[in-house]
Amino acid sequence: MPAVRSNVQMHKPPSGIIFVFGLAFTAFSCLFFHFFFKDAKSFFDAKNWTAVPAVVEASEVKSHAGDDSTTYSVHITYRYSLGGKTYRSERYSFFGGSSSGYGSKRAIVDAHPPGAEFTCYVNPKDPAQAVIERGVTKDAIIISIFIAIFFGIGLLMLLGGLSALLRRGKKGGELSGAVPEQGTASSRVTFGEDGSLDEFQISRYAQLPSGEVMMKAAVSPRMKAAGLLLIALFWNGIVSIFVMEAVDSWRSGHPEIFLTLFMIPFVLIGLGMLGGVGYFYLQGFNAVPQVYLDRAEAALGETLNLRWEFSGDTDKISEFIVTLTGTEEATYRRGTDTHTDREIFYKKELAKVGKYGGIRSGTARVPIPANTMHSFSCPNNAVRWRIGIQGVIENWPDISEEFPIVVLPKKLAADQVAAAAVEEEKPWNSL
Amino acid sequence: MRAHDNPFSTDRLLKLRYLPQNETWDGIYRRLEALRFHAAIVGPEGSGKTTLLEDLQPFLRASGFAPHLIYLSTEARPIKLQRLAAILPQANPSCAVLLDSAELLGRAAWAYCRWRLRNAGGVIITAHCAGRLPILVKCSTSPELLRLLLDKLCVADHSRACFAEDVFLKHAGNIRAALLDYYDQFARV
Amino acid sequence: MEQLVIEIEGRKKVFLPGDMLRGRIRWSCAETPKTAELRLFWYTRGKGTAHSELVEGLRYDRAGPSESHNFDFKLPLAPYSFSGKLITLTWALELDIEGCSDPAVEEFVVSPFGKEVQLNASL
Repeated sequence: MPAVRSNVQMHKPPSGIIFVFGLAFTAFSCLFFHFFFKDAKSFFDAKNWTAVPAVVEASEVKSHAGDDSTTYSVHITYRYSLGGKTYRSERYSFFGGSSSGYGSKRAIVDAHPPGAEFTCYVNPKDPAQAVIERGVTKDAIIISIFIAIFFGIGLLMLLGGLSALLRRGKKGGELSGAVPEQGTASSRVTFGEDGSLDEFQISRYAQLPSGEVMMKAAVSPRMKAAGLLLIALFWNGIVSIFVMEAVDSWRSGHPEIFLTLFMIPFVLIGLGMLGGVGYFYLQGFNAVPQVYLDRAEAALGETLNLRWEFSGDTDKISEFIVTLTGTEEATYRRGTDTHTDREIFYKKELAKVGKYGGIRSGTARVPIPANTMHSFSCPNNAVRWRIGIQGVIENWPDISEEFPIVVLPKKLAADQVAAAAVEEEKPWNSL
Repeated sequence: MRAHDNPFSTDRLLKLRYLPQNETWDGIYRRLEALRFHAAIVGPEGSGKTTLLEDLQPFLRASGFAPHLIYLSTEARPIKLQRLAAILPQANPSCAVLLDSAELLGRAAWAYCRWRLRNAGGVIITAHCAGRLPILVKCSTSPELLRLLLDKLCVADHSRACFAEDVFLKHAGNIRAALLDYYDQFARV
Repeated sequence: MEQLVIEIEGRKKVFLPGDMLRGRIRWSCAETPKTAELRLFWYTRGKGTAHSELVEGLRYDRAGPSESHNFDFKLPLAPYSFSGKLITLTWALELDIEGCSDPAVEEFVVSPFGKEVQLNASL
């Protein structure tokens, strides 16, 4: 019976779940905004509201028990007269809801005991509308920060997910062994029958009209700073609530020592993140190197030509180094986590330029070694080649970037190709 | 030393099976029967919980069960109920569900698991701490266990396999980490 | 006695990428096998979780208890057989006859250099 041949299958494309999550975050932020600030328009109008004497009829701090904690809100019922009519209102401020922090609310209620006289602000167009505090409350500031952070994160996820969905539409054919690299630049590699590149997508490259390839940095330092800032705002926003609780407790003379000690590591992490923001921000002031290759790929034994150009001030750079490294990477499980070990099997310094050696621009040859392994990737195991650039700056964050490149299998010599074709046509010989 | 020659390569480590400490396999099987096949294997990281869970499969088959092994990992966190619904099998009295790293399930997810698997003939989990199901085995490690494993890997006499106690202490009793450390040591040979 | 044999033409152990891999398989089983398959694949070993990838397979339908067949595969141009500190990639043929003895495996090298690529030697 003739045998049935079966061939290898393809890999799955990525999903657009981030887009859905981004949509959900953004939508919920808008809902929360509406819920908490539905009366916010009045906040702007209230500057023209009439100041009217009022009397407190009842006042208390109301508690609202939640799943994990209790929140509090101010309730003051007061009476005022305008145009010969008497009105009652319970509105304290334009920003609704409840929050933690009993002390501050207690202080407000204590300042408005039953029978106390004070000034409220009344809408002249609708005297039934009145408010005690027409400014921005502390709770409103905190809630605004929260909502802004969630909205910002949601928007980023929405845009990121949308962009991922659009990229998904591109066709990607992959043969055995090649899988896009996760987390860094993706490099899809398929090899045709003659060893040439069948399909090539390296997302961190831009093909120029001149034929050169411009290598792009993964994420600019400013973007890293922005990303970390968002996370730091989110983290510190939440931590600040509890910190203010702790501070309030010390001020009121009933210090919450456990809360204070508990918050210390969280505060330190938040400060660390802000420090990281500063580091990346400062790194953003570094001169930016633009790196070009004469072509996108090279086979074993071939040579690429690289050139670099700096935009910005390069006077601070004391040394500029370009290297080529080959790394084997093995991923394994450690309990419920996975971990990737890396071992450099090839490293060559391609260029090393000192302060007075012309750092601003230069060229280097990138000879790919002949007798070694080409780029390779499969689940849990990979061989990756990278061009690294490093600009050493004294007392300042260094310039440091790595660009993955694809090293192809050795090109077959013409006689080898011919011999292989002859061999393929030969009838099978018995052993 | 080349990767495939390394006695601690992953394929060789996977061949190491669970070694009962201070008890016998018969004892474990009897206890599992007494617990009506609903039990937990507890212990710290790298103490052999997953290996024991895998090694219970032949016994479960011999007892008339169809074992269904599920591995949870931190990459899958948070483990949503929809995902659980997709990976949990249709439970029936002849099915034994083996759930690795059940500590990754939150309260709601665990409650859902228990409900979904209420008709299963057996549910055996691994976890770092006790509490969810009666304990079948409390896995523990020792330098002697590490030496036994080195012996099984045929490297007990190798000069680099000395100081097993130091390696054991360096990784706080995590046998898996100790064996991976040995990989690196032998790779430098 | 049950026997599964893979014989590579010329008893070659090293092939160039793109070469034709030819040979003969034969099996002798006590009973009629359920399935018979010859697989060309490569696999990784080392510190990372092992991975194997089937390149091409030949299935023999309605196989008898004793048969022999010629086979030929065109080897792809990549990946090469290589070995480093963390990963070894090996090419192999596997003859798997269900209901017969354990599969027969024949390993070989695919490399333009006449031998397995040694990664550490490059440093």
